[in-house]
Amino acid sequence: MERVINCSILTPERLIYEGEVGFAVVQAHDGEMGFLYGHSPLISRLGIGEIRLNNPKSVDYLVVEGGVVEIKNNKLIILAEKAFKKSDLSASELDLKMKDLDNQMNEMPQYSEDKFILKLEKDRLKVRLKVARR
Amino acid sequence: MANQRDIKRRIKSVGNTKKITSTMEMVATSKMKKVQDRLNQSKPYELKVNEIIKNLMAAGFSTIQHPLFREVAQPNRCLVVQITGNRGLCGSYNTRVLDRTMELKEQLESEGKEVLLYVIGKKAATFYNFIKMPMFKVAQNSEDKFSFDEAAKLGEELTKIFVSGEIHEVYVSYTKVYSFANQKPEVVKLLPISPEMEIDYDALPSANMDYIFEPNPADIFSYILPLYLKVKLYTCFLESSYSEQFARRVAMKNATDAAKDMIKELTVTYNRVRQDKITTEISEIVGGAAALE
Repeated sequence: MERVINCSILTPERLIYEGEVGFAVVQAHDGEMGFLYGHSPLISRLGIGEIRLNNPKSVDYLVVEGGVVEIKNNKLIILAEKAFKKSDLSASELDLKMKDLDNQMNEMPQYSEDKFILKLEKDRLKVRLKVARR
Repeated sequence: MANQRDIKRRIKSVGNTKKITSTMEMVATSKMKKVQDRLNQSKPYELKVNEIIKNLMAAGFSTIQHPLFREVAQPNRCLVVQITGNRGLCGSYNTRVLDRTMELKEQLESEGKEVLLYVIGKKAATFYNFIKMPMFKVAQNSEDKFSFDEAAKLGEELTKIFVSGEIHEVYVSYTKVYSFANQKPEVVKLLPISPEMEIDYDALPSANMDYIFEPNPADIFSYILPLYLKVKLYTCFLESSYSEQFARRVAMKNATDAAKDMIKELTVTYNRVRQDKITTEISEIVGGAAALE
């Protein structure tokens, strides 16, 4: 028998990914977490970060922004608030957005609340950009 | 009997109406299909969130301390979120939700509670303005542009006023989809989340007890509960939207059929009038010719 886990990634709006993978790495709340065949049942919170799904031939990259991951009986389910496939993202567009954001941040006074919110937004963009450039 | 030209004009105008209604029917059908797809896509998510909540509860984690579960001993301020459409021409869709809401309101008021209305949808807002009933808040229904972000925003807003203690209970009045051809107005209690509703012990496989929770059950719990609310709201909106399009489709189909019947009848009348006229003309000619002889 092949030692693969069945993986599905869901957002409230649609099913992003479904398929069998050999090894999955997700961004948990405090760092990356890997799943292989035979993992014990687990539920964890997710952070903002990339997901790598390794198959023998290819690797799929996705971005997840918050959510919950559950694995049970070699079925991995990722309930994300927001998720993007690599093909959904375009590096050049994100670059533009990033520059825009940087400009906005530069105009703001130091240590303001708005700046902090933009900082979070920037963190998200960074991850998206990282995946888009893969 | 009306004259030929009047009838012809009637036929043309009914024909135009028919064109409009049949187009609207097609539009409603295609919108309905789109919403149906989204509904199908979001169902597994909702199920999964429910399952995780159940697993957490089965892990023996006490839920009662969480603020979203907190019940007030004597609830006397309720908020009813009512979801209707922005537009009419959809049969009894809007009125049925309104009726259900009014029923709920009377019932709650007879229990001595103060009821506030959070109205979504232009149609319902016009109605409440007409009967001069005060509303807590009015918003437009964003219809097919509706996204999860909006449900999330609404969910956060409701959670905020609930947790602040301003409101003791939150209800949602919407149209539930029982099957793809059967929808009925429904009221669900959104907050406080009632624990009995969630735990269905029979559905719990006993082997689920050995989950590992990262970082800990409490943390996941307080994260997933607001998510649960948002997902719930999101599906309520999608179901309402599906029902609206379905109702509109049925109404427009009926209108198109009625127009078809009307055209048929009018054509018969038109032919009869035309024949009458011809007969009269012929007999006049024959009469005239006979008089000349």
